[in-house]
Amino acid sequence: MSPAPMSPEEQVQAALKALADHDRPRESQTTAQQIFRLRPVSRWKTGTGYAVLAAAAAIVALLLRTPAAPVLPTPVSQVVSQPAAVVPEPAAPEAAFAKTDVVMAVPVRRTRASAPVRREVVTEFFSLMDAPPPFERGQLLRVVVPASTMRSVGLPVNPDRWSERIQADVLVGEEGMARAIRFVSYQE
Amino acid sequence: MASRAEVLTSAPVASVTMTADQQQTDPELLTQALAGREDRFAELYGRRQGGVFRFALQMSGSVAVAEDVTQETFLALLTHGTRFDPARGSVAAFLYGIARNVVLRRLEHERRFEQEEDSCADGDVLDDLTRSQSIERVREAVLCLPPVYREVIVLCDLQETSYEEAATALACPIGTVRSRLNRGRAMLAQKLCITLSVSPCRERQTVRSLE
Repeated sequence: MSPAPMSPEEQVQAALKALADHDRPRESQTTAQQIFRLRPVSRWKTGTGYAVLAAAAAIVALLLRTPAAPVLPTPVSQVVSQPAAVVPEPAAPEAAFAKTDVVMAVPVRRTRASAPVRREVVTEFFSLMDAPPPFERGQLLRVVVPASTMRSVGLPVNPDRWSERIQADVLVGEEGMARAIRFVSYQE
Repeated sequence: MASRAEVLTSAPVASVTMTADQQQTDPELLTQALAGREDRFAELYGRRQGGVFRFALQMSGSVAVAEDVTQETFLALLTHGTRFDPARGSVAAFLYGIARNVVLRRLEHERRFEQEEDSCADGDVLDDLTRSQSIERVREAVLCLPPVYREVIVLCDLQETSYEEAATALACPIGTVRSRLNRGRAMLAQKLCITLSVSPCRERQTVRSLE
């Protein structure tokens, strides 16, 4: 006795089931370890590394100066407890300086107390991490970095001034990673 | 109380000996993998890579493409995994959604830069008949479907995902999944019938041989 003929729908289902059964054991040959090592964390790690290196180099350079030279308050550590510190600050009129070509001949040496008072102007914070973990506490370190650092966060810098040194505040999280940076200038 | 005791004693041993790690859900594993736990990623990968690989293989027909797509999909999971929202669907559906985008991009790229070899044309019926493996004929019929129908066939019929998961992965309503599935099956039947209709006896024999 011959089996009942299959409808076209049943034939399609049977064909698809056969293909699914045939493919079921097939899997990727790539291992999880290989993929995990390819995950793109290196970019911000590298950026963070550069920032930390630059900060360390600047601190060392400051320490090696003659005692007579006025030394920046390094590190001027303020305890920052609000994640909002990374959020751009309210736009002061001076805050736009980073967008201009006045890429800052920031005098690192400070004048004496009798000199006219200079006002500090800062840019907004620029994140140094692509996907930072939640921020709880950290420190704000005042450091001196080459002006070329501004390029790394996308700010325009005149190539002639890449080697100039400028001041910056680096926000370092409790875990020790540099999360954000802002640049400092002074106005009389 | 007695019934409670019964349930406990009749529980399968496997569930009693199961460790906490084995009970972790996909979203939990994903969260821990995103926090840098390689072992959790490996576990999630072990669970889901087969489905993603087969989806890519059945969509593209190429093992090499399937390998690339699997790798790209899980890399994207590690990069953009924070976008996963459990309220919108499962991790599997999220992965299929990523894999689908990667596959379609690859198919589009290959269609643009490679010579089109339309092996699915009706003129190849006789060639198809000379092929020894019926499975490969079915695979080619699936590959001949337009991508919008192919992806629902692959997801719902070959990967056996639910309509809901497929809808999440394809970012379309369930009704669309159903209608595309019906249309895709009809097109597949037509293609298989074209292949097999030369000899009705052979058609029946081929389908039987697939079972």
